[in-house]
Amino acid sequence: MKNKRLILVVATLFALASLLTAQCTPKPEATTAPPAEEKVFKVGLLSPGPVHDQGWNEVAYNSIKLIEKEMGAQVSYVEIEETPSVVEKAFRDYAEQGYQMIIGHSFSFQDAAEIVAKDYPNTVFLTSGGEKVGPNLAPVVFKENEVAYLMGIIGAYMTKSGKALGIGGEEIPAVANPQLGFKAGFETVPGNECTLTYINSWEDIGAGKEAAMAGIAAGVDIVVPNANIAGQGAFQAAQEAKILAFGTNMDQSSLAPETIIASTVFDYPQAYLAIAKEIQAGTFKGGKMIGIGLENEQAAYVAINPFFKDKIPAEAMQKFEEAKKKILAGELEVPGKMVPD
Amino acid sequence: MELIALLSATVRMATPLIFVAIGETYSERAGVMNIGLEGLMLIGAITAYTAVFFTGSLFFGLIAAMLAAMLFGFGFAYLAVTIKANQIVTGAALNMIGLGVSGFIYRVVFANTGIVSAVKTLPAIPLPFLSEIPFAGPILFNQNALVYFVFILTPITAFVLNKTSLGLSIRAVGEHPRAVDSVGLPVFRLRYGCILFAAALAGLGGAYLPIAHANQFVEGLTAGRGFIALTMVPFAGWTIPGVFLGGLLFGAAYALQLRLQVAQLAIAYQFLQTLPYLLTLAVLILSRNRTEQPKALCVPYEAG
Amino acid sequence: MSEPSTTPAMPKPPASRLDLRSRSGQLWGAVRRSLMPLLAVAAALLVGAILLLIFGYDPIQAYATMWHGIFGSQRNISEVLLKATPVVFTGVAVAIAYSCGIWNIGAEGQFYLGAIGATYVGVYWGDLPGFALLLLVMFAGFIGGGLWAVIPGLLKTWINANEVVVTIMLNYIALGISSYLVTGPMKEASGYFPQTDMIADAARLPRIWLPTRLHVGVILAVILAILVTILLYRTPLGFEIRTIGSNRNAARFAGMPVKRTIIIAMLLSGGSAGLGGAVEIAGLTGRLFAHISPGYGFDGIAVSLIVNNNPLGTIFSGLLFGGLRAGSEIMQISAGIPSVLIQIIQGMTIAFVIAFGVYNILQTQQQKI
Repeated sequence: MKNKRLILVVATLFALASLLTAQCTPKPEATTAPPAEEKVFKVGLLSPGPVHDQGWNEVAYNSIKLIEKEMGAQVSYVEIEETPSVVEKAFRDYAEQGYQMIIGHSFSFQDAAEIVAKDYPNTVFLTSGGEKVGPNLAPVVFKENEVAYLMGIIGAYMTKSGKALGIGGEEIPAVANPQLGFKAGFETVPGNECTLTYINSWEDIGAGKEAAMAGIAAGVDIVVPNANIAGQGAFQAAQEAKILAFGTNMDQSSLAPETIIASTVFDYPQAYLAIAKEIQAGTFKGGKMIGIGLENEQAAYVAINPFFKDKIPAEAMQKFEEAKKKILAGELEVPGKMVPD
Repeated sequence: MELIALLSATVRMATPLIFVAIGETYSERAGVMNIGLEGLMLIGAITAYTAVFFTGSLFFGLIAAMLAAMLFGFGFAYLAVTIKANQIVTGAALNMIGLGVSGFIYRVVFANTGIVSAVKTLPAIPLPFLSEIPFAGPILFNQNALVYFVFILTPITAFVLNKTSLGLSIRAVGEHPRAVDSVGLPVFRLRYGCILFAAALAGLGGAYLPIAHANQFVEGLTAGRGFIALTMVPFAGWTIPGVFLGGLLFGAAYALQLRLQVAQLAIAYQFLQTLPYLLTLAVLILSRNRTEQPKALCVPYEAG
Repeated sequence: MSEPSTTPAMPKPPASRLDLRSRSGQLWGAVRRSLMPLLAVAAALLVGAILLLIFGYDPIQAYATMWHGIFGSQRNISEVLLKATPVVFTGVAVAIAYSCGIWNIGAEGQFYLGAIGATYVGVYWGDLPGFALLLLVMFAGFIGGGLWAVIPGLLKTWINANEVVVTIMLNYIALGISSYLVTGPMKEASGYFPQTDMIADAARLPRIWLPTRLHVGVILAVILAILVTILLYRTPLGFEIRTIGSNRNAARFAGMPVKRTIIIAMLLSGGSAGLGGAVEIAGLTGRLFAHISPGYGFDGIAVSLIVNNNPLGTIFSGLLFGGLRAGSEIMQISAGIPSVLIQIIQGMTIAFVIAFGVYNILQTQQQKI
């Protein structure tokens, strides 16, 4: 009896829905943009988390905002679960609406990007990380491990206890690779040891702080958080315990001006702006990974906090420059490589 | 030294859990399960952060957090008690609304205006003489005001629930609401009261995160603490001392797993991360506490 | 219908009983009931519209895009069905356990274990012959999720451990296992990304509505909901499950094998969620990632409770949730409305649906039967 009623309830719902759909279908153009706007350059972003996370996703948000400002482009973003099964539709929605450039801001979006890219040859699909390529599909990959390696060398000469602690959000390439690079750089001085830990969260500032304090209790005097805003808890702990820290992904010196020695900087906004310009000009060539490393000094570098400029030993800077030359010359292979070239 | 640091971290991690779990114990003893604690904590967190940011008053921030959470708690109570809507689904909706509202306030007031910054936090207040006690001093008596408050609140709430006539009424409402009604006690008002009390404590537990433990707010800052607190209540057999100990156990396991990661054991870090959950399970299995849940839990009361 | 004989202490068996009210009264009641959920959604959208207006967004445009995003094209409809599929599986899982008086908050973890089992078979046993492989993949999903749910079942029956605590803790542990596998033993052969290799092509679920990616899993979800309804309401086992759910002591007095039945119910419950995980892998992603579910297991709780734990009803509450998720994406993409505002509106929608008494209506019906 109950089931019959239920079916009735739902049948009514669906009858209504289909009725309304029938009325709506003849005029789907009503919701799409008028033809006059066809010339507008449109950029879409699939963000695997809140865009105001003061970390990974905010960087992507800043990228489309920069493109909007510099090129007068129409930009849009969607915050989507970091669950690869759901992103294919979002890629298609943007492509369907004539977006010329779509950024999928996670390596795990690459499978979906590859499938959708085949159907929309006039749209360029970019993934932040990944290895899949196609005529209109390319991953943007920063060589984070190499930059972090150089920062690790500075750390190696700034530590007194010889112990550093890396605090990652989750073990994804954008975190694990630079942490491995830092570790290798830090351990270039014999006897130094860098431990890598994970807090399994990007938002839990308390966990970031406690992870740093756990390290401090074990004698660590340098912490390297790479966990979006959760990492800022580690800076707070470092300030309170008067030890040192390194920033990651952007220049974070201002967050703890007398604690953060230097930060790795990966300028996604500039990189995406440059790509956007190529796409608009019609000169963009896909088919290969867009790798950005130390050779691009404006986009991937170590930003040293002015407060520490004079406090870093000359020997450290000398080793830093030597290692940089070797990496650029291809003589030094840094651990934590993302994908084969 | 390492042990002192570990236990001190335990207390810091446990404090918000205990606040929230004490409140939820009252609510569930009165027959109402509120799974929307995570949402209420987020409301408390954003309110406290915003209030402290603009007024600079930590006390005002804490009061505001409790009031804001109570406002949303009132909405929950109206649906769950008066309208008699399913408590679990209402709580799930409250979680979504809490996440949405806190995120929206954060974006409108802070992120979009570019004034994201740290706020001042509750300072550690070393208690005279007590903080000098070797070992226990730095762990228990060199903490912030909210930690002391949880130490005071635990015995008081336990006493009220078990030894007073108010506590008896609350417990009776969760077991036999009709009997309570028949002797002329206000079933609805008791349930409303417990829900609001729980909401206030959830707000306080949420406020602890951005203005005592850390000094920032971000969307989803609570990172599942509301659900852990929810688990603590049945884990502790619906008793106040139980949730206090359960909170400490969980906090200790969490602090310990971070240290085990630093110690570089030959165990995958993912398994170390599950230590708090495994330990909770183990204690649940080994303990002989098999209290049944309040009989009227999740059952709306029909007057008349 | 073969029903075991009843004792007065037990709930009435699911025999149909004549409704004594007049036919017109019945019809009016049915109309009223069908209108309620619509009214609830309409009320929530109205309040949402006011919110949108206050914060400077155009509600008409927002809802037009949402409508288009849900019903506007073959692909959009297919995507709503795809989003509904996993929560129907987890909703059915919650419903089975609930019928047996067990709170299964662990559908999320069981979904993960099912996905892990299915991926393992699909990747490492990929050279098995076609259809056999697909069946085995699904079976592995069922067993993975089922065994994960048997743990709280055993702890409940052996030592009466509170299943809410156990299932929530097992969720976190399942997530840890999944993260460990994709960064460790099951990491893809090339070793660069925290994901497994693709499962064999033969292990993929066939597409049923080309060119969309709608796969046969959506039909499996409906079949599962129907089968479970039949199981619960038309078989002796289902009768035992429901009897234990409504009064465990009475069931014990009546000589029912209470412990065994709880274990079987949990196996079926977790199996349903695990099957959902397997379908997600075999139907959509083709491989395991650390985050294979955005919380389908938790949605399943609401999906089941909104329809008073009626397995068949989860199809429709599942569609509501699928529509909400699809609507959220399209409102962000085409109308530029921030996700947090949409979350508020959606939370209100669920609150309104529940407040307008959809649940209570169904509950009264169930009591009547």
